[in-house]
Amino acid sequence: MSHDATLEMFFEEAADLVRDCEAALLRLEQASSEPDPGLVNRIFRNVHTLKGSSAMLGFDRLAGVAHALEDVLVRMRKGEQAITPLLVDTLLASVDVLRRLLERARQGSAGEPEDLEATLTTLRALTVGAAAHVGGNGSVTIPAGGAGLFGPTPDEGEGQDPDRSAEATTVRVSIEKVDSLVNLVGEIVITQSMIDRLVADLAPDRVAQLEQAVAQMDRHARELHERVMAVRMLPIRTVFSRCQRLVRDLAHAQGKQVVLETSGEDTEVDKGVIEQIADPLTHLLRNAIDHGIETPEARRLAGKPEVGSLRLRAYQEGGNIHLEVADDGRGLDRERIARKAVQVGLLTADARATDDEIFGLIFRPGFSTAETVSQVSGRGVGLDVVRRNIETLGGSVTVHTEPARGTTFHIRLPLTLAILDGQSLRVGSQTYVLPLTAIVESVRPRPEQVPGALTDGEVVVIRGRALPMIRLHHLFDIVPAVEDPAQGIVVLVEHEGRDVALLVDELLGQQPVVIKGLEANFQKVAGVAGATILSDGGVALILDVPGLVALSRARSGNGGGR
Amino acid sequence: MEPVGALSSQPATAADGPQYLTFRLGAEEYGVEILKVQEIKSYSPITPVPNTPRAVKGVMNLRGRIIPVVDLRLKFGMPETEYNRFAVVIVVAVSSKVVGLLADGVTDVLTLAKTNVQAAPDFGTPIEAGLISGMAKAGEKVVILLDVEHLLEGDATSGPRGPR
Repeated sequence: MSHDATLEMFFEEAADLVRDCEAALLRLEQASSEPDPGLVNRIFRNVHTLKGSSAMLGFDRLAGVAHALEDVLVRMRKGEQAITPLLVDTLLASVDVLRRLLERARQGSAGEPEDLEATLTTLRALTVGAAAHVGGNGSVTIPAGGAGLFGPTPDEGEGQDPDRSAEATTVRVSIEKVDSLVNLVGEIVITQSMIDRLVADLAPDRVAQLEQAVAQMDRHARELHERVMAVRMLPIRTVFSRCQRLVRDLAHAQGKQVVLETSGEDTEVDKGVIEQIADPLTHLLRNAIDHGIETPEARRLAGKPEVGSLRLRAYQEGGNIHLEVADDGRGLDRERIARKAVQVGLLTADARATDDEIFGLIFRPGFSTAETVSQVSGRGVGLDVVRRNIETLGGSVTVHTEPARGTTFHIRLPLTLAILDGQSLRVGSQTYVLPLTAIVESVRPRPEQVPGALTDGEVVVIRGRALPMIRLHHLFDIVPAVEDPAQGIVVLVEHEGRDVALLVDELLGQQPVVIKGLEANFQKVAGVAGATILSDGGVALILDVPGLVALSRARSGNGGGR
Repeated sequence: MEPVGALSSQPATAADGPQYLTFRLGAEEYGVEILKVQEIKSYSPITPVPNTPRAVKGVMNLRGRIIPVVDLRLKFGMPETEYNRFAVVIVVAVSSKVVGLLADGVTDVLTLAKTNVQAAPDFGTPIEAGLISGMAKAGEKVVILLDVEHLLEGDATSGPRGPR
């Protein structure tokens, strides 16, 4: 094995060890009244392994911190060191230092985290019987631990979670998955040779056999596709385990008591989703602690248990992954949101909006940044960003709330980023694919629904609403194509909470399509999200709704000489 | 003067210099370094990509990969033609990207010694000067050697084609 491969393996294992230490520490803290010796042992084993392999590979600083940590853990094992929240803080901070050291070692960057010395000092102070100093007046302080998890710290560039950048490069696949692939490929090879033999001396009476073999091949190929996709799927546990730490640190900082319960950690999600869901999820959790869950006093007054409850749930249903972030806090303030909406002109004062419409407003860009909402009734700081992130993944987010009972955010995501449900459509001689999730409805307008060009572009009137109409054939320079909307189809798509109409020639079928990027060998193209390969081997472009709208605006902005 | 270059059918040694794949484009013959060529495919339907340079004919499916196809005729300012069954897509690998070059047909593989390649004369061809790495005589023919690296530079970055 090459040196690089050894290092790569070390970094992966080390990241796992550190993560496991963190999880065990958090559990240790939750059960600090009757500490589980198993947990201490587990942490000890992890740290010990890390120390050994770091020293072997010459990462002396890592080994040093691990060694100091090990000394403290030995005392804990012997019962000489009480498990206090402060001790857990110290240990967590040390784990953070380990993580940062690992990241540095991985990137080969020089220098050491600023808090390395302080951490070492604190750990050593604990073992020379000076625990009283630390526990008592906190004369030795640890730099804010855990900052790396939920905010930019000076030594982490753009506040990127070191774990995440490390994970981006490889996928660890369970051996069962690999075995099933190997088996299946074996089957395919056998079927293939069967077909070869049948074709080689094809007698009329063999045709039925051949048909059977080809059908079998087809089944195998489909299954292989499915299983290969499954290789990209990882349990969402990695994201959830980070959340424990985040909730703990945030709640501490705010003087609130919050317990995070997670369920469905084994739900498997596409690797791409895993990487991109952490931010929105973090945001929702932070929101829930900031604004949803009340202070212990307020909760007592409201007749609730002092400890707030946050639930994070993942489950799969059909072709979708569902994620729920539920708190038992004060809920959204309908009145205040409605008032704000009237104020900024999103609602008329006498409009009777449904709850869903009102609460949906918190996802509107701009709406959320309004101070009155974000500071008092809360909820809304950057919720538009949350929604945008989730929509980028091809998912959606909704909110359900009950006053004084709590708020639940529900996220629906596609199972994989590599496949989407597509609606094929035709413009001129070209076939395009539109993500099914983007489509609201499709209609053939009557001539009177298309009143002709207005000053700011064409519109189509659907049930009394005038919607901007984008002619796809204009945007893409396709001739010939259907010019008269009454002869074509307008597809209504949602963009930033509004409907936009796309004029196309006709709709073709719906089917799942495999998404391929154009960037790999070419470049990013405005209005195009990627491409897919059709059953005839040809290529169809996948349309990108926000891109199309932007392109159309840019065109009409430039004098729009059409 | 001795004939420059040798046909590939004759045994070629490393000392002879780099080999070139030659292809037809209109009346001219062009060559690309064979080490850059990944494969040659027959012409298959190409999906146009909107708002990209005119010379980018579109994208095609290369065993599951989507690669752009550059129409060299358009790139060199020649009239566009209907491509027939002789047309080929020369798949070249250039700095980690894979790109198809559309040409009228492949003609030969030539081994050209460095000394036989002359710098491209400035004779006012429609071809941008940077795209030609040199010219070589092979028997009766003159082969224009293309610099593939530079050939693609403009396409990925230049602006969209103007409205028709």
